[in-house]
Amino acid sequence: MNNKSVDIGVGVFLCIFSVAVYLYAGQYSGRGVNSYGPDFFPKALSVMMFISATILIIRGLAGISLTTLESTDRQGFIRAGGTLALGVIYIGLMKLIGFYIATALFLYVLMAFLGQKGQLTRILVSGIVASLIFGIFHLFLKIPLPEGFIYNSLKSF
Amino acid sequence: MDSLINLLDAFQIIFSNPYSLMYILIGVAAGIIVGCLPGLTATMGVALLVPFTFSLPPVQGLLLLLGIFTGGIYGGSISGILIRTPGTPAAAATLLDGYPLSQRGEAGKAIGIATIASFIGGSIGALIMSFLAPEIAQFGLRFGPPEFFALAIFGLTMIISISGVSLLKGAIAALFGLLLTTIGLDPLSGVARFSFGSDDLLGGITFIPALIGLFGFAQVFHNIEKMQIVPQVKSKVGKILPSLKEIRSLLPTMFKSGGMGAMTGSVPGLGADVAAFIAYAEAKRTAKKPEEFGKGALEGVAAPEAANNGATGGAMIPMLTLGIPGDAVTAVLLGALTIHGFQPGPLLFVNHLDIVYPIFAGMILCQLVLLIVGLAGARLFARLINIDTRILTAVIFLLCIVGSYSIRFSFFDVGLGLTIGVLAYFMGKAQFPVSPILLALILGPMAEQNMRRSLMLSRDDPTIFFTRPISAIFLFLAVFMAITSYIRFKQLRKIEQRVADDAAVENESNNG
Amino acid sequence: MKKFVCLLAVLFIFAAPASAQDFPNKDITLIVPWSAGGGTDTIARALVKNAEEHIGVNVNVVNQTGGGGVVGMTAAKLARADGYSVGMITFGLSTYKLMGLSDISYRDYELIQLLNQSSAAISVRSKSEWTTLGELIEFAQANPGEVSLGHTGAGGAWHLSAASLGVLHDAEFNFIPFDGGAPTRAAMLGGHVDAVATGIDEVKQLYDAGEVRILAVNALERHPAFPDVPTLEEAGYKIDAPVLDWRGLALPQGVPEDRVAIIEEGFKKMFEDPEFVAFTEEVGLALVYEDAEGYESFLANMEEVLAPTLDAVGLLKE
Repeated sequence: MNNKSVDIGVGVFLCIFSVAVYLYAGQYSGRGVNSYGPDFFPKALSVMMFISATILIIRGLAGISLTTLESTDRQGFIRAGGTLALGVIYIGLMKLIGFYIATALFLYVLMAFLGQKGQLTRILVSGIVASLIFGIFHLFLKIPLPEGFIYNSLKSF
Repeated sequence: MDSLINLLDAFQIIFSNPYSLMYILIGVAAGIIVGCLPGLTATMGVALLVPFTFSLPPVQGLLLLLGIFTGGIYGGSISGILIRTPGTPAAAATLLDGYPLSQRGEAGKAIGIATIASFIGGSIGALIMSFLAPEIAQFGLRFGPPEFFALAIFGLTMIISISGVSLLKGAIAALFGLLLTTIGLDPLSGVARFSFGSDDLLGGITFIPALIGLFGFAQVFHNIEKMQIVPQVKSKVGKILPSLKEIRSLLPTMFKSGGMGAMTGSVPGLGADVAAFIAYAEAKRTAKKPEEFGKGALEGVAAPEAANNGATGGAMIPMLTLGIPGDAVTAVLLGALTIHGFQPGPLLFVNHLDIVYPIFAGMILCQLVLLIVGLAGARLFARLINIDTRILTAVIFLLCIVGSYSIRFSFFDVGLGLTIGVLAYFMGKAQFPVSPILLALILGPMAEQNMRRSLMLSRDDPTIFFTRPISAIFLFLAVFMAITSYIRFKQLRKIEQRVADDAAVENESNNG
Repeated sequence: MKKFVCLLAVLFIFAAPASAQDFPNKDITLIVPWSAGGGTDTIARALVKNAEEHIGVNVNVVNQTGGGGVVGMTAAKLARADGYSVGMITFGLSTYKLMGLSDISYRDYELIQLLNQSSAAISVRSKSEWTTLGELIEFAQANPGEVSLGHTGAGGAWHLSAASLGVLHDAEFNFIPFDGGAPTRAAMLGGHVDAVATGIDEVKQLYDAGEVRILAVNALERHPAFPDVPTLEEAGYKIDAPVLDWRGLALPQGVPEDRVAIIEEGFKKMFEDPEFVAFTEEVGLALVYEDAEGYESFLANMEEVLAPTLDAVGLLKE
């Protein structure tokens, strides 16, 4: 996909988006005390967005675009997606088994996924980093971190 | 002259307790750690440590908190420079040039300059606070709704300076950011906008997770994608700190930015983040070589760092003299002072000079300690990015997740950060700049609320923005900045175009 | 792989729960729905300052902000019902449902106690031409919309308080909402608005320093820390049921009864701590205690008072 079609695609999307925002903001009209109520700013912005997006499309069609689309490494892209997925699983796991263990596990798995060699390195790093973060955030700064469903059910009974 | 004597007395009070320096040191060090962890801001650091100070004598307790404040604002720049993830919002402008420097292997130099700039800016702020507090406070009060609106518009012209290659794309990014700020409860009308019935969205787009998404998460995804192709950058070893000559050439920028920062900070409602962007744009506008900005210009690190630390002193002024905090951190300090039994306000200067001047003296001492700790640590910090990228990236990703959670203990915020991170990653692919979004998130609510508030005051009469002198001046400045920055921008594009053409010709001749 | 299993085992041992002791055996979290350094936050932190003496463990204040308090109060409602999460609930809870912002109301909580009630004050800066409430209101009656009156946010206690005054006595003010107490005070001191409606305690420092004049307090009796400030009735503008700002404590529903009792008792002791009482006197805050039952009837009554007021300023969602 070349830059021209990206510009046009983004432009079309933004045009539709700004029209949607404008229409949706209509329900807030008349809710303020003067003529510049809560609908004014979103409407004004969506009009400006629409104009900008139209220029983007025109420039794309005319072929005046300075920028070039950054190349994407296919394998790397998949790896980045995998990392995101791991992150989402980690968040779910944190709620279940608590912050500390979930964090150590997550780091261990993520480092393996990213190709870090050495079993010992991974175990050490994940253990130490999880302890450090737990220490700073929870013990020192008293930030309530998720204790996990399991830990809490053990505790309350 | 009285203030000088009081100030010297205050130093004596501070040093009469042998542990005072220790508390400052602990505060600054803890502040740097809190500041450089994404998601833990200086505001949070101070708030979280307030309970610790209950067991200390008031002066020592405040020294600890001031140390965290100073260290926290500075610490944000370290993660900004090293991993392109600002630890605090105030460091968001620093990474524009700090990160390119560290990509050239000059992380140590960048941190060194940030430290010295922070010291100079912070000292200017502390001195202005010590000697001119009452006068400055009166100036800050002259800012009403129309003035804030004009100031926000003035601030938004900085988009031109941080847009990168395409102004149009910068403008689109900024408009998108401004639209994001309209999500949530509108405090002026009590109407919930674009919240679709969700309590989380009613709270609006939280700034810190958005910041972590725009820079932290996006950078993690980028790094992971390029991991196998691009070799890891290693910090240079050996003599890594900036040379005296380099520092001397940066001094004017630092002094100017520090002063601008202190003035910006002293206006209630404007904090270190806005100060940093204003100073960055001004440094770029007046630079001898603006084409280096965004690619690792030393001024691009010095200006925002001097300004954001200058703003710390500035923000203390309205808090102490009027009981009106200049920004979020000073709001927390105000609470801490109140609980300690010293309610800030006009009477503080009458009844409690015994606490006011130690605060001033403490701010000055904090800058000195910051300089020493920062320079000693620069080498160590710079080595951090030499850790194997597979480990480092994993840990940064983890910190970003924990950081976006910690700001208000919300998994919604983590999801928000990740979503914005994915968006910012693709924006980077299509060469849409992300910094304008950040600027819009900072200035959007200020622009909208004050515009509508002004028009309520004038009962729909828009001339209110031009008939009030300060407002008119800032609107004029905004136009002036926009025009001169635009001319600069065009010149830059020409230079870059020529360079690109030369390179193309060279390539062709090489190939041919 | 063996090492990994060992590591996990070690982690489990470290994270294993301490043997079940009497409640509470770890720090309690107090969720504050407003930002650090604000009025509510400062009161919360002062309240729990000596928590350990009174309940045996520390109480940590955490700020969950946003949506005019909705985010934090919802978090307190949804918190685990084990007694370790206590919520600070504030005035907004009486209005969210009426304004159509959120479905939460006081009925979603196990109420603990009321902490304080604050009354609104109408103030002007000392340079102002108005010296009494009468002058201000007469001017507003003669020149509808000419007097700009700043307040701390649409639908907030001070906005509603001032609005009901205006509606009852036919004075049309130009209401200018600000985002919280600090910017409102700054706008008054800078002369950007003619008068402001804030909590009376919020202007205490400026009043003591002679920077502002408090024209009247919207309460049935004079405030003990401001003996010279007349009530609305004394100033000649009677109001039947003043809108009061309030703050209190609540637990999520479903906490075991014995734990609720421990929390109630512990926080009552903190509330009566002489240091806390001295602090509230210093900042001009009127403490009002109501136990869970009295608290509930106060809140039920509050909603009845608020509905017509919200309707008058056009914020009532039918």
